[in-house]
Amino acid sequence: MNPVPKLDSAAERLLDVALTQVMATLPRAAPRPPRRWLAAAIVVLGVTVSAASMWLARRPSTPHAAQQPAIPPAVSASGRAEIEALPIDTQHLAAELFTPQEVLSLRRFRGLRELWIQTGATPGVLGAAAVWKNAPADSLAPLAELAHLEALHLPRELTSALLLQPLQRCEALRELDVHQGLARDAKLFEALAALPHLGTLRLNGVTLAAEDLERLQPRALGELLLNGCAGLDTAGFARVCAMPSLRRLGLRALRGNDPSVAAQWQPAGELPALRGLPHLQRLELDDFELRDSDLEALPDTLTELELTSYRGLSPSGLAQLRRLGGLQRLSIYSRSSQVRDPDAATRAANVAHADAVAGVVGSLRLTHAVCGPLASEALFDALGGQPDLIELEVMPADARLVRRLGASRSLRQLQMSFVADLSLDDLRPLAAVRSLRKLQLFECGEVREVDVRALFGAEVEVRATGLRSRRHRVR
Amino acid sequence: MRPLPPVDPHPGLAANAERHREALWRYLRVLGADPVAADDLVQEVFLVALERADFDDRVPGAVFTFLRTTARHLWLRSLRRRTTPLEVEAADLVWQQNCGDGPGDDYVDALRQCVERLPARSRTLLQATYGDGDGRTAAGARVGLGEQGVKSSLRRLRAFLHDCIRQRLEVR
Repeated sequence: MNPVPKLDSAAERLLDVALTQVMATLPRAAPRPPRRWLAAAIVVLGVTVSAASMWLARRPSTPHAAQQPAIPPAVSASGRAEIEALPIDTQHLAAELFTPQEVLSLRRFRGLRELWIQTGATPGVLGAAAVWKNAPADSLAPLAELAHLEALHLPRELTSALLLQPLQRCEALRELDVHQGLARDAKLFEALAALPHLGTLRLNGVTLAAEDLERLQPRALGELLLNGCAGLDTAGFARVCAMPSLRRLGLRALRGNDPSVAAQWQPAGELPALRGLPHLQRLELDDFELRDSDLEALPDTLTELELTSYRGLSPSGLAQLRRLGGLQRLSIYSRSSQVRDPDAATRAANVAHADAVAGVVGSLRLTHAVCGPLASEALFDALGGQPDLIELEVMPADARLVRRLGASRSLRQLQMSFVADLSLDDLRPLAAVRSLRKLQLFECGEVREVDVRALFGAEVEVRATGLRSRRHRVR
Repeated sequence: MRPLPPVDPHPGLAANAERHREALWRYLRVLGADPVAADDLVQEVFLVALERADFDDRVPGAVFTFLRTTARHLWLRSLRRRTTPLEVEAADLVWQQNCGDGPGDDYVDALRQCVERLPARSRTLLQATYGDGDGRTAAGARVGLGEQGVKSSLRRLRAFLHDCIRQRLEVR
């Protein structure tokens, strides 16, 4: 064998680093054709994959998430110095910036996948906030160099048609979350529609009109969420329902803050248009006046439904939800259940709603449930009897539910708030739930975090915040 | 906080920023910087250039020369006493011999052509090792080699590529 000549170390490093860069851009070598003996194994694998696909189809589909490993939790940094101290391989960052130029400091994170930008003003510097009002048009241009950036959350100071333009070069950007001030800006929607790979759009406080939503139609969005957006009307809702690619639609607190916009639109018999969305799986309706017949119109493709702060529905109307057999996640509570110090009539009405929700819960196989302040014996029984329930969030008026959950085999996460009379003894049945991994208690009686931790052991992450807990920490 | 310069006072620099960035990173790695240090230094080099009001970005060849010199000084400064300036100068000479005064685009092009002419199995091994960052065991599993086999194959491949690149550069 001929001896292989050894390169000197600098030449070796040059070849290594050039190879790393070149191999990242070259098309992969074609795989070898499968050998004959592999054929049987491939058939078996195919059957297995089909079965797995059918099983997975029970869950809400998130196609992109299925292809990529999950994005890790965000790390936070405030200002350039803190940002520059972060590791270069940071994937998920919540950054507070004090000048538009500090966006430059983000481009060293070449593997960044999700970014939250919050604007701040340099403490003690007069007029510091004004720098954001005059942010240069190319302030966001450095983000276009982040080849892996998938999700971006922008504050209102960086949301305008002009500032968004450089994002058109973001090859991986699929999710955008923007906040806007009061005035409607039609050009903003042109800029959004020009983002080539946009799949998820979250608009917060953006005043809009039907034609703005029409501009988004060619984008083939998978998810559209309107939070606090004024201006949606019947024509606009029709445009939304003409986006057949939507898998998720969220309409929340649409009253918005724009005083020039008339009262919030209510879907007076228009929800049947949702049937024009053949792939709709997640629907979020918050703060709407609904009619019982609206629930009849909900598409049976739904796997996740949030019906929160609703008004107008009767307990018997809620029974319509039983036909949504594919629902796995349900968040449901009425506006009246959130009233503080309700009178006797309101209390009775709330129990009637809770009982109706119990009937719905009892007929579904839920994995996640949020019932807000709704509380009744029947509802607690129904939640306690859910065989697949993984995550539960409740604000019950008493501790009865806790005792019923003691028999759960699947519950992993429980959040309870405002259980005034909760004691450590009430929690003991939960300690027998072997699947439990996270317990959050907010303002729950006299329970001390240190005692709850001792009861549940190291395997359960416990967070208890309340008057007694705070006192304990001060000591 | 130190005031930052305007975002784009040197449009000529910005126009070739990505190309320069890759070349600078390569250069700093040749000098001996690890990937993280190279990332940081590249960033710093650009900041130095952006802050220099007298920096003339209109002459393409001069831009990279300036960036390269700045990178070398920053690298030397960051080393303090860990290595001698002589080693850095020797590495710089290797860059000079292979890439001349420029960003080394010819070197990279030659390497790309050499890799493209390799058999599929060799490319798969290079892809696993350099593209996907697999260790020897994982890379070997993709081409049916043990750890020692991977080590030997890579040594031969690198020697071949080195010669191939040199021949192509000589032709030019």
